[in-house]
Amino acid sequence: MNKWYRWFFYCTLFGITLSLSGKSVLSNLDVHGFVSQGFLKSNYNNYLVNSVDGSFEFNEAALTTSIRVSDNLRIGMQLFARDLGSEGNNNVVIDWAYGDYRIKDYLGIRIGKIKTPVGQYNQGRDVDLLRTSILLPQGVYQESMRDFILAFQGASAYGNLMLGILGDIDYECYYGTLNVPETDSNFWKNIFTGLQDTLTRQLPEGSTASVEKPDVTMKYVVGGAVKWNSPLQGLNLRGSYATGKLNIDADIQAVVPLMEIQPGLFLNNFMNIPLSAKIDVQHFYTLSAEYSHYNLTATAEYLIENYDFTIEGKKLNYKGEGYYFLTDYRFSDYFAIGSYYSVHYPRENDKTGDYPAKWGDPRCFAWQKDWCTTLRFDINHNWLIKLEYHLINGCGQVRKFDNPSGEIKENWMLYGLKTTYHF
Amino acid sequence: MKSNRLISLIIFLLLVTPLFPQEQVIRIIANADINETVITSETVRSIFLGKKVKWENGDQIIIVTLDAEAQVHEQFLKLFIKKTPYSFTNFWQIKLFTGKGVPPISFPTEEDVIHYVAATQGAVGYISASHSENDLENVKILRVINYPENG
Repeated sequence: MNKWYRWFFYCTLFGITLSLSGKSVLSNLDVHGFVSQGFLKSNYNNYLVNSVDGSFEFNEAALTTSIRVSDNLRIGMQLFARDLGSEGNNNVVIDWAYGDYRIKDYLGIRIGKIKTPVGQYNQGRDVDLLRTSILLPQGVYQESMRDFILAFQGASAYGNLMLGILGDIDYECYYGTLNVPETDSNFWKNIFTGLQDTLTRQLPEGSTASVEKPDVTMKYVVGGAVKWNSPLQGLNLRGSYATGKLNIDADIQAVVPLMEIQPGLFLNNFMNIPLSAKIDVQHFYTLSAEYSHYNLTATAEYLIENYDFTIEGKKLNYKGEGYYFLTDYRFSDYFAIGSYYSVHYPRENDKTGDYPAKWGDPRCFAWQKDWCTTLRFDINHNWLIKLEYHLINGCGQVRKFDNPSGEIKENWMLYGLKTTYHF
Repeated sequence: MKSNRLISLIIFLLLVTPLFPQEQVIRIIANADINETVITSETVRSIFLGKKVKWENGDQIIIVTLDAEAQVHEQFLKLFIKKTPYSFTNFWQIKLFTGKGVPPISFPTEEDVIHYVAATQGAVGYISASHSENDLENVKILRVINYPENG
């Protein structure tokens, strides 16, 4: 989307903010929104943005509308734009848009583009005002996976089941297709860079391999989430599960030096190999427990992601693991403090770095452990500011292409500052 | 001897206390057209968290609250919902920005809540116990089973 659309979007958002101040235009139409601007700085390792130099390329804006068409039917939509380093670039997209038909307390149907119910925070991950921390615990909510698990197009059934003295259950199950990120996005860039590295290592010294003209199709995604609100007030247990299939078609271009005709001048063999790959998401599940008592919230969550890559008939398995412990406390309407410890292993069976070491990479690519502390100040009901500090060991989520110099440090720090206005 | 008397007094007080029910500081009100006259405190919680959306007669439940600053709002949330005004607002903001619901309508005064509930089919709200049913027109006070103790 070009810059004029972008300006139009921001002007509309600003105009509506001033004129409506969060009140509805019609009795059954609601208009709300938010604008966030952040700053990230690290002492080593570019992470998510050009963080070593410090970067303001970290913002979100959204405009949400919904209208009750009848007693049972509500329709709504959220326009959303964000920038995070090379991601988003403030292009306006439809974040979610669907019709919601509530038949009974225990059954409702949604059809359209729907936020995927994964874990405690996935559905609201882009909305800074909903939590204390600036960055969600990356052990479970990896930014690199965001575009892949944020929303799906399809249908879901949801509802609430009362269990008497055993509390109640919220559930949602869905079927559809995922919003597959563009093939030039960092999500695929990360995967294709890894694939290129693997292929290059298989070829004779001096060879290069690249993935060209990738075409990715998501065949389907199916999953569900269940949340048990226990009889112990404030304690809930939640599980979510997703599985799906996607196809990748691409050309592998390899350049293999055959002989050196004269010093520094090689006769090369150019190869163009059509590649067909399938990714079966065996399972992507989370388990979590949350306890909240008035101003205190404590959460623990665990993620396992398991994929089968089938490349030209050869099967490779990839299994990642992550978890975190989080607690936050609100001292007053104006001030809250939060902290979490988050761990992620890109390969669940390699927690000491044997795999990256085998290919000459630093061992710390095998994990990322993050202690985070955040201070949140709510200046008024509509405006907040956050300060955040991360002490990180490991670089499992640091992307090589963000650090072309190759200088990766195992121990590093990240600082964040963010402000949000909402109505 | 003195300590025996003290123990007897404590036991007496413990036995007698349940005979004096706790004062109900909040009343749950609803539009007079609904069938329900009695409601459990668990159902009140479900309604105000958007889980129960229909009355017995099939009417859509319309939730009404007092503004976040109101003392009665804070008392109601503490008793029935077990949340602070901030966490209640945050709960509805999550629903709002993920498309799962719209926050309840809120009013600055109890009189505004009463007028809205009287005029709106399926509406439910709460007021302080200082109001008696005789003062309310087209509004019924729902008797709460398992009225929560001070939270």
